[in-house]
Amino acid sequence: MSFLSSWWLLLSLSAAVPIILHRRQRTGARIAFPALRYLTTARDARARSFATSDLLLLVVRICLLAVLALAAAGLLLGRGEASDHPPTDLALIVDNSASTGRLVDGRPLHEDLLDRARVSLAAAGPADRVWLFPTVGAPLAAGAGPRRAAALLEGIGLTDGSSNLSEVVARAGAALPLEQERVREIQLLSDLQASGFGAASGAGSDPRADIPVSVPDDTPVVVYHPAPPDGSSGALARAEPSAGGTAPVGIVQGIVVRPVLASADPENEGDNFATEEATARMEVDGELAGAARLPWNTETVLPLPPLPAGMYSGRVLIDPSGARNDDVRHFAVTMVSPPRVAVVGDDGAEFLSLGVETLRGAGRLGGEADPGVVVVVGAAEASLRLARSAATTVFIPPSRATDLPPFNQMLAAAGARYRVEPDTAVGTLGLSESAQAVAGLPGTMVHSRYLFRGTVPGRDSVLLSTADGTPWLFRTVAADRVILLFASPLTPEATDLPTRPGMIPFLETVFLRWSHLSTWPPSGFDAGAEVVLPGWAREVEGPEGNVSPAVAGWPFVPASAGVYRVRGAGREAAFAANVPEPEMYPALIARDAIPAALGTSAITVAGPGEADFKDAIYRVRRAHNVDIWLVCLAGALAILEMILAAPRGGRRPTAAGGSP
Amino acid sequence: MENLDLVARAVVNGFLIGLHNSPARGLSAEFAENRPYSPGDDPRLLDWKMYGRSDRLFVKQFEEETNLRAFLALDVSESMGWRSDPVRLVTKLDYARLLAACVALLLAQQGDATSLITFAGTTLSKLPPRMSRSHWRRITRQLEDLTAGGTTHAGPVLSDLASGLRRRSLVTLITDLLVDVRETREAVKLLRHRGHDVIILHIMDPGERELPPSGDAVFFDPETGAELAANSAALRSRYGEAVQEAVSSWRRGALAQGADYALMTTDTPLGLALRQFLSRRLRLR
Repeated sequence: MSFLSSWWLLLSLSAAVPIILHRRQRTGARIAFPALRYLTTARDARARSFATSDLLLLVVRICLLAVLALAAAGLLLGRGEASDHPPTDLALIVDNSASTGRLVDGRPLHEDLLDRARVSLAAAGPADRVWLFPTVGAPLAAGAGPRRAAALLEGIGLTDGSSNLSEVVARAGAALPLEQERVREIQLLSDLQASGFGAASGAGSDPRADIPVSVPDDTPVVVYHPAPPDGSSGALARAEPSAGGTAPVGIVQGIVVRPVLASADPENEGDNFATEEATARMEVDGELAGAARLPWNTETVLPLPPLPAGMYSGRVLIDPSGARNDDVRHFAVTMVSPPRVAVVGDDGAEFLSLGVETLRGAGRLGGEADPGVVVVVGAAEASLRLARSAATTVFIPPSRATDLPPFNQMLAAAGARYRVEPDTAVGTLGLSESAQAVAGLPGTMVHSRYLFRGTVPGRDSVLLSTADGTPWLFRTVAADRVILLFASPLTPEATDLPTRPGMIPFLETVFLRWSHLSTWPPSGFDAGAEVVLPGWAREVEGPEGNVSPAVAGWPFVPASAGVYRVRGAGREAAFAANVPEPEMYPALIARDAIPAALGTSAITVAGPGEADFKDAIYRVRRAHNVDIWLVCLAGALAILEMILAAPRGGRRPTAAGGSP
Repeated sequence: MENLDLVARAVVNGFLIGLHNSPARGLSAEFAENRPYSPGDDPRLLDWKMYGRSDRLFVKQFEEETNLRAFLALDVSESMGWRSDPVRLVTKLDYARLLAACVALLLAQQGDATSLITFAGTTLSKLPPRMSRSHWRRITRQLEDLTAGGTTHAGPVLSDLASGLRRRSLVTLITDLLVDVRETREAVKLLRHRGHDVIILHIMDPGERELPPSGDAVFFDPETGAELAANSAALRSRYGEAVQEAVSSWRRGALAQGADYALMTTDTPLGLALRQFLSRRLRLR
């Protein structure tokens, strides 16, 4: 026997009230009354006839109050143990996202959640089957016995990843088999961070629009609601290279740092935090490389020291708060030598050559010998052999349409699966909106262009488009060589770009980012999220030095925060995985928003506290409510009480009273 | 209750019926009987012949002296001084003294000699029976001076009265009957046994017929000091039954003994109550 709200048992103390009233010495005003003999006779007569019914009335009233107290306390009959429920298929979801590292009474919440899970498994019977789902990572058990699941449970550790609780619950609901003789049940042990439910928690949109499966309404979901976080927590929301993960040697760049104060109550964000400023320290390859003090929720750049060519890993730290790994962010940066660029062909190459010379003079580009990037301007067939020796070829179409056939033949010879054709509906156009973010391009106009015509499908990407959506700069890969293909000659007649100041930074972007250097990784990744590795990847080395094989086409999941190195085909790249930013904001979802967020109505929210969670499990497994029977019993007792308390009408004296 | 005689006259004015039949001895001056001398008797009426024969003093009584000797025994105990509503009601004693004055006037108008006896634990005062207007005024003056006090023992008082009466008389007991029931009934029985006509006028306050709704209270008897803690709401119906039973018991007992009984509540106009009583008595003759 247990109770859902045992403190309501205090109501049973009210059962003493009828006893006290019954035993109470009647006192009150003193009234002179000569006919006391009749009063004595009446009292004696009443005492004789009503003694039994009074006692019965007393008992009924005590029982009525006791039953009401039991109903209010949520009486649960039985022991609530394994034998009290039918064979059950249990999907046990344990949140191990980074946000569960917050401290509750000096202890990481994640450990509390594991305790709840142990309680749940202890209440499971030998006939029960368990599906064990960490919210970050692969399922650990499918249909295992409770003891086996309990052993596997110990393997669920705190991760640096984020979780999509709606998706995990839906996945768990789909995993449980439909068997008529078995009961299905889902238990979600989580910090219920609002961000874990996607936009549903606050915006009112459907959080599960992209989730293919849902929880059947006949599958009860017990959701553990932990104690809400108290106060603010400092976190590092951003620490990433200012110029991307790959930079040429000699360019000054730094790490953009943004510490934030995250509060469970956004209205009072940071009001109880000890310091007004955060101290950020930057380490590169284990050495202190910079530090700064800056106000919370502001951004600064910690400059990197001059670094020779090579791959570097580093991290930025602030003072720790809580057990979450959100006080440190990792970064990886690859320093490369300036690319060697050669320009061949003279059909409108004046402005281009001038730009290359300018960059070369600034040390941003290497010399012409043994070039890594060959820029072919127009139909310069003689340059084709040189282009084949370079890793990247940039084709710029000729100014005259009559030169297109040899140009297209060059493209075919280079392995490009495109040819260009004149665009008869030519007119002045701007570049697309996405192009406005590229350095040097805002305001650029295109006066004439050619159209690309594909020949064979391939792994291509459009780097720039004109405002009407027509590709303007194409990137394709042929025989492990990168080919960039412009739709317009870089002449003032075709586009105003060559005459604009933005020409130089645009060329730097083309040669440093799009042509010569690798485009992978595009940026940092979230820990726990899938990472699509490049096709050449064969293995991944984790932050702790553990090496995992990489299979082309299969996603890789960096479980913890840190710098990962990807190797294969003689190439190497590095990327950083960090705690997702939403994990830093500890606001919990409102209790009444949980059913909508999970998309099922069969929700029982319990907690905080172990007893409340156990009661919730038991209540769900009993599948019927004892309270209603207690309420019915209380109603019956109330009716009996009214009958017993009603005066005996037949014995009441008449109004005339025997007047003479 | 000032000018009791005036009020009594106003109440009695217009009554044509009397309390009793004549004892049929007329208004002659014939000798009727002797009775032992008692202090206060007119010494001129001493029967010296009897004294010569017996060495005991006897008073001569004559038929022409009265139609009837009537004794008004009035309870003046503490309980008679109570009223449940000090604003609307008079005390039982006030009601009783006016009733006694009215009855005395009726008797006087009939030419009956009337005596007034007041009692509580014992006989407190006694006016000998006389038949004059001046005597009735003496009675009313004495009634005006009465105050309630003491405990009631009606039985011994009535027994003493019975033992002192030599002639058939009318004894009217005016009381709230908060008395020792057995003793009182025995005394009434004795009076009836000796041939006296007995009328019991039971004076009751309305607050005694129905228990007032006072909730939890400690009720105490002002006469005896006895207490009882009770909830009036819980006992109200039972109380009404107890009062009804007591009234019925008195009525049945009086009927069985040949006595007359009437219940009068102090909220009933005295003239009306007296008229109803006399009318009923007339019917029963």
